[in-house]
Amino acid sequence: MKTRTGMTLMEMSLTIMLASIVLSALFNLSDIQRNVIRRLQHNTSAIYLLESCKNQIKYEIDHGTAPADLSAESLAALVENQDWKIELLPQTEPGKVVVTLQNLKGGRFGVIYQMEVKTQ
Amino acid sequence: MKSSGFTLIELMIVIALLSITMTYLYPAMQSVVQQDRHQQFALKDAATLSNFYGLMTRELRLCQNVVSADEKGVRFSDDRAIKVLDGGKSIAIGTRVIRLESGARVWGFEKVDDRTFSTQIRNGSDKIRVLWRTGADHE
Repeated sequence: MKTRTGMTLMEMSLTIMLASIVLSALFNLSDIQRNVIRRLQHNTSAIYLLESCKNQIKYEIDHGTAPADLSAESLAALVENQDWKIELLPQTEPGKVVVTLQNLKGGRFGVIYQMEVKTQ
Repeated sequence: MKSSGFTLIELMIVIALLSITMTYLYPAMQSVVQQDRHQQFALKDAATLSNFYGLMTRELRLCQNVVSADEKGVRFSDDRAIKVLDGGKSIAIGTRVIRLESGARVWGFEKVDDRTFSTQIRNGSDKIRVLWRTGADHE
């Protein structure tokens, strides 16, 4: 009887399956890494934006604007691209202004940053 | 006689398969390499800008009034200064010098009032006008 050499169908299927698992895991890891770096980039921008919003609010209050009259428009002008959404929340305590910041391109990794500025 | 090794046909088939695979994989690999370079830049930018932020907030706590702010940097009334060096590639804050590598940029120093000045910051696709304030209210 002639002996058969080479891979069997089962071995070939297993090899292809393992290769597919390794490749999909690699693509998944690369996707996660991309998202982590995107989040890091957003966090860095958010640090500067929050600092800037705080100082803009303090500047406006120093120049006679009442906390209730503050608007988000002057804060939105601090960033040039339209990916960031800056909002002022309604005041719950006198002298306390709450700013929220969100990157609209954050997708499922999106974060809302919130900061309180005490004006008194 | 029993022959061992690959036949010419088998070798040709393997080479043909490899060529077809490489044709499809090469553009994908190029985009992966490009993406990796972009990520390295983003990491460097984040490190540089975080460092810059930390040094600025610490320095500004100690500074008094803003005397002037222009493309050379900012001068304060207590003789402290933030200086732009090497045509904007480095910034001296107190005794420390921050080197702006890859895509991170800090420029456009402008006086807003006696306690406030602004700069432009580039982080990736974000261009932010940052207002800085001197004095001890940096909480």
